Amino acid sequence: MMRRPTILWLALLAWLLASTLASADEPPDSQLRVEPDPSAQAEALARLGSGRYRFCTDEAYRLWQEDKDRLCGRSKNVAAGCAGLSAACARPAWDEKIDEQEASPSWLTKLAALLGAEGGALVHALFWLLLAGGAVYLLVRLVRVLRVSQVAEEKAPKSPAPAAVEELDPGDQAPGALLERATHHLDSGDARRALHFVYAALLAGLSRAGKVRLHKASTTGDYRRALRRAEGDQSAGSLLWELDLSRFRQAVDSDGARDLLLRVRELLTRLSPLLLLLTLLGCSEMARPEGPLEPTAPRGFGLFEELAKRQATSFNKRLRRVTELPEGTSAVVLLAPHLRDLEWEILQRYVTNGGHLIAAGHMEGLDTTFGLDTGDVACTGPLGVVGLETIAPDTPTTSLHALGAQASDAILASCGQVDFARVHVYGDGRITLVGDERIFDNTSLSLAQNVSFVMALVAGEPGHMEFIGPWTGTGAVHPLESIARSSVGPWLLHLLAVLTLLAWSRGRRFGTPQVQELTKRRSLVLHARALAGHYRQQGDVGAALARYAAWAVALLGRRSGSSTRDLRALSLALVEGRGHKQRERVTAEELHQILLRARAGAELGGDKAKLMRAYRVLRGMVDEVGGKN
Amino acid sequence: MQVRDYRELHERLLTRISSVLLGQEEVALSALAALLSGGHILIEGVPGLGKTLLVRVLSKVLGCEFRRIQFTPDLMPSDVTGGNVWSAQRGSFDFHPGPVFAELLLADEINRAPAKTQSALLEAMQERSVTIDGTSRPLPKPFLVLATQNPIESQGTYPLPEAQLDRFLLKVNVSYPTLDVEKALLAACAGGFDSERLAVEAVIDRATLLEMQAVPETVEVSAAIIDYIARIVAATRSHRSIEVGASPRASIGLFRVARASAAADGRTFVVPDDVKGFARAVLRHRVVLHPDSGIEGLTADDVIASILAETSVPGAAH
Repeated sequence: MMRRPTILWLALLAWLLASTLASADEPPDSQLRVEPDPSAQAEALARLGSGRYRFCTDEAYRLWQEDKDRLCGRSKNVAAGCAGLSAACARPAWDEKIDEQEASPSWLTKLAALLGAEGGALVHALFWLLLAGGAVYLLVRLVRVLRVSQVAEEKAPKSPAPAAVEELDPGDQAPGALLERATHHLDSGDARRALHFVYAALLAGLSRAGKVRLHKASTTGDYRRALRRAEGDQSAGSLLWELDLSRFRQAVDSDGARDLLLRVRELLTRLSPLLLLLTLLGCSEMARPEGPLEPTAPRGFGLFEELAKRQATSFNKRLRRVTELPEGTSAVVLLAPHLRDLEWEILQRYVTNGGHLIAAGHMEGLDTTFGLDTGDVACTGPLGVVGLETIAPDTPTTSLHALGAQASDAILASCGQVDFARVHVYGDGRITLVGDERIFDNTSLSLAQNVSFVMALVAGEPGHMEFIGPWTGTGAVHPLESIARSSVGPWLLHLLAVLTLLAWSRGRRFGTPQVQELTKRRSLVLHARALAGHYRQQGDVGAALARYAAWAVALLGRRSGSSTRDLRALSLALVEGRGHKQRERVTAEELHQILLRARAGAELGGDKAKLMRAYRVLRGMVDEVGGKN
Repeated sequence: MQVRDYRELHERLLTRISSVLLGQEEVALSALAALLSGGHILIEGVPGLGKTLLVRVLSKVLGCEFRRIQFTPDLMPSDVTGGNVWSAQRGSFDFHPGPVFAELLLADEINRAPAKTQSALLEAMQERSVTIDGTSRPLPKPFLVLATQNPIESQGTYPLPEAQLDRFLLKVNVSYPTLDVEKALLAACAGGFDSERLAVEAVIDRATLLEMQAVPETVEVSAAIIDYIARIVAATRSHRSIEVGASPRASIGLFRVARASAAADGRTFVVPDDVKGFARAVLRHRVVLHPDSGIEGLTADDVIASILAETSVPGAAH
């Protein structure tokens, strides 16, 4: 038994053959009849009512302003397709238009206006200059850090091997989903695995209700203690313990596992009033706005995708640029994409070689590539399809873009006196032109027999179907492109510039590995202070300085990568890493003298003031390299 | 003996011990776990916390022969193991067994004796026999050593070397009682309790103890639990604050104690709580901290707690 879209396609083919024999100048005088497709209609109805398309089933659904303006004017028709939309029309939209933003420009806009064109160009140039210099500086530091890290990694002991046991993560998963998986495993006969999912579900539910805090190292005993401390509730803790015991038992009883699953489900249901409360406070999933272009949103194309997957042998929603089409592509659906010239050329070759292109909506490149004149004729009339009851996807207040008449085209739909959908022969293939891509969206497909009409539009030989739209080519090929598209590039660059300026002025050893942990060296500090106090009492500053210098010089040598045997080289290395202001205060030669004096303090003794200065300089150096005392 | 019988007896033992030794349930539980696993136990605490009392109560409730050795700096190995003494009447050497030939031995303040004397006892603990003048003499079954040491006095002590600390299955720290417990203690004293004249009836006898020691060996340990034990012990060998980690003897010790804990709960299988509950007691005396960590005030318990907090539990975890 042939499917209805196939019948239509054959009829169309026959009509096209007949029309090529007729005069090309004679305009078509009748529309093709499109037969209803009950199975597609039923499938669409079932999917819309499944709960996935929340705008149809969710009484608490809220629309975006644009959708509300478009859909709610025709709420009677809309309600017939989706009951949820009627309720949404009575609720406030997620977004509100704020006109004040346009009236009051931001401070950046005002500053730009103040500087004028020349000032702006100067700032621009300075900015790029600083950026280039900073980038080079950071690159050099990064190389140094990588070298140090590599050495440290080689020296570090190997960590223990990762766990050989599979672990579930109940944190991000809904308890309901985990229980479903448990049921699935139980039905498959794997009771032990099912119990793991039941356990995870209970933990997830308790976590969402705020009764426990999940942690990878927490045992059931830990959770039980937490539950007891929290509210003295024993039931959840006992059930958790029972589950844990069941999981680790040698032999797992399927009936027992099922019983546990039911008890957990019951407990989670009791916990759900808490979740209801969170819902009322706007914290639940249902209160979260659905993105306007989500596949399941009113303006989304999720339903069309699902129906098309039934019809085609394979289906691809194309994200990458159109560089080539897979072999066996029987149809390509274009919904107002932004394509480049090369991509249009590929599509042209495809159609010329016998392909079927369904182009919906007005798009740049279509007319020039295929030599068409699709026009941009507004239409406010009803959508006329012979054989079907169809409803236009828009309100009377905005227009459908209908197509200008073309000779030798087969008309599939009209809008008042102009065409809305027609088939145009091109080379060995054909192009189905559709006036408005919104006929393919979820809301349109919920109306009347629009599903049958849309499926007839894409009907053809069984094969692969490509779905190309505004999403095509939006992915980034490399990270820089991703940054550019996300519009955070300028902010990142500004931050980079500020950090570079900071590093240059302060002269810190940027990127030098710091001490991993700031441990509480209280005992050691107290001991050191006691020792210092003793030396102070003795008046032997030189000896105290020598003790300190022995440690400080070793630390400075490690951090600068220079040997402590050659104090001159060490001094040079330390001074080089400092900022220009610090270099003015202490030169390399002076530092060398200070290090010598400090090291030999016990023997040399000398002026207390000089020894204290030596100590202060050393301490400053130690602070700079990150060795906090 | 079945696991349920084991559990029942274990509860009775614990109840009896707790009725005498107030506020030390954790210590009593650990001590029983070690003894029923056939391991030796090291008890550390300041004087006056009831360490000796615990051992005496244990000996009474377990129905075992109890001997006590007070370790002093002048104690000789033969004072522990015994030796051959010339008998003029018989004209031969008679073997006089030392206090080590007991079923339950209390080695009080083991860190006061010199290394040579410590070694004599520790050899007996390991081999469960004593060799004197070339003759090997087996020790009685069961043979359980409960050693105590005082952490606050360092003058005149000989700290047990790490290699020999390893021979103790568990190390239990006895801490000060809470205010309520102390009040209860005083109330008991007012009611006529005298720790020197203990009237505690035996709950089991020697034969039953041996039977009980065989029960944990029937407890199953899944691969996931074995993996968990191995990961915890392995983590001690790579922790930043530990200089010397725990040996495979620690893994085996934790394995045995986890089984005993499961059996005490009436189970024939081990769950992660059994392992985590005893990890500190099994590992605290088997790890050597970095000197820096010691100076910073870190204890072995702190480090082991951090390891346990970083080691994921088998099954649905984080």
